[in-house]
Amino acid sequence: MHRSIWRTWLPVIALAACGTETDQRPRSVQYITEAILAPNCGNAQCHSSFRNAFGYAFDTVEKSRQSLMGSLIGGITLNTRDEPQGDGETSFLYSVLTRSVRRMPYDQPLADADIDLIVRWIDFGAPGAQCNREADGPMVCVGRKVVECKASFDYGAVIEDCAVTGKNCSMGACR
Amino acid sequence: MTGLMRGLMTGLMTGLMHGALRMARSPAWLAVLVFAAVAALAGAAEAYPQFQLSRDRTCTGCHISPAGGNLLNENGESTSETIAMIDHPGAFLYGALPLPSWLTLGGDLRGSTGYIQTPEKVLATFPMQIEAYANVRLPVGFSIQVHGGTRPPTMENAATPGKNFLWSREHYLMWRTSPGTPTGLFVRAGRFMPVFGLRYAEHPMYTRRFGGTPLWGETYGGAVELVMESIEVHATGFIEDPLIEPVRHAKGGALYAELRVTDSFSIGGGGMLEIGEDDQKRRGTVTVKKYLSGPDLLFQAEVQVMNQRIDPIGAPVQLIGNLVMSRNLSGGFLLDVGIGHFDTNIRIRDLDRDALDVNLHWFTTSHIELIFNGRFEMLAFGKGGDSHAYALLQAHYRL
Repeated sequence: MHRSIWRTWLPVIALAACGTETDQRPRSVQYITEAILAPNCGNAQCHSSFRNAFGYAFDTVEKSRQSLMGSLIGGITLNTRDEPQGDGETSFLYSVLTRSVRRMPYDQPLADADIDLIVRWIDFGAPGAQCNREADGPMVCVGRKVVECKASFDYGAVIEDCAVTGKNCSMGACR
Repeated sequence: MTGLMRGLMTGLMTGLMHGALRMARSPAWLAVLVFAAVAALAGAAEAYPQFQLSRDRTCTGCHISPAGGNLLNENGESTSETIAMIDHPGAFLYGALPLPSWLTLGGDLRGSTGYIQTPEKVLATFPMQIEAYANVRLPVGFSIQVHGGTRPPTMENAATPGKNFLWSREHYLMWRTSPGTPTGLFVRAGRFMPVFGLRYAEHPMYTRRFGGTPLWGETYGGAVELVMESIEVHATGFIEDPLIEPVRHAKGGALYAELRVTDSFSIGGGGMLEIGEDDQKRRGTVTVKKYLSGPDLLFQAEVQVMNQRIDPIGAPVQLIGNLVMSRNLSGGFLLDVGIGHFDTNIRIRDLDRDALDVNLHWFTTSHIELIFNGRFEMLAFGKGGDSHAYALLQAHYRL
């Protein structure tokens, strides 16, 4: 118990003046939401479930996932090793956070390090916000490949490459 | 003091002119920007902890609620007359509508206008609060308190159309041991804000916004609160609001105690646990208040540490603090100068924010208050991102 307390509070005392570590924060939709988007964007008056400004809410992981998937983070593709990847710096979310006009968050700018983490999360394939099994079904099309959509909102295994048979992928199947 | 005020006014006027010029060049953005500013800076009336120790020892010295804020008692109405530049009756509607002894009514109307730079420079005018309050005293120490007013509508929420514009931010049943006195044991059940730390009216203050008592963070719960001249203790248990899309997505509890060591010095501390579906927040806070009667200066400081457990991984430790100096000036003025520090993750460099806040309250009458709210904020002293500022003039009418 005492050891646990010290593990929690000792870093506070030691690092109260300034952080020293490199940014190794988790690149997960849970962390991005709860540590960055909820306190900065998900305020009661703005993108909260309470207000839902412009149809976006970032104060819970579920709402954040719904808001992020699609237009905000852009398409998540597969690289040559069939690993999910995105392009953070061309995403609409990055544009919204960095542009000079109508920039968000409106009431106080986001820290550069937080924006960098969001960009790297999208570059890494936006884990936790790649696909929606309930909305899209158990299989989704990524390019011309049929890919499993896991309950964790992540891509799973590649089931079929439609290009091999000269077909296109549509609605989770080669057609 | 004069130099500081001159500098603030010069900055305000320069900002207003720049903002006006920019807006004139880009009128198409006006609606969006005003909307966003309304969204970001809307507010609600809370207590003035600046008056504690300098005016009265307890919140209940002036307010009906043991948490302070909103409805005033007779002493609070009298204080509103005393501090104002023009002496008008402090009672509801200036006393024009006599109320029975079992009923207290009140309300707050607030609006604001000014300059915001985030870093885009804009002018904005917006309403902040339209709210009415009622307290009905029942036999044997019971009372019912209800607040009703407007709220920003939930957008694209056709499922709850009736809850979109009007709501009751607080409503609770209260029992107290000593009605008519500021002290005693209070028990509340209903919807209200858990008591935790200093409770400034200015919700952008870091210890409020990031500190466990955010704007519209009221929720259903129960509280047992002891308020004495020398000590007060507030224990609150709360749940996530099951009736509307809530602001506070957690159940949990808060404990806050304040010991008034002398007439001019108090120290407090407490903890709060919020258990949400996606994370757990564990907060600890320490507060200190010191009133210097000679120069009539009140210092208030609060430091919070928050450990957030994010499922499945992540445990940032945050540091949240405010130091505010308040001084009553002649002519009904009250000046607050404060600094704030918020580090969203102390292990990561350049995530900290520091703010300089200046609030100048002008209590023109017992019911009318004009406020200048100014803030300049830097991220890691300019290394962590763009700085931000606002200079707003707020009008507040208390019914």
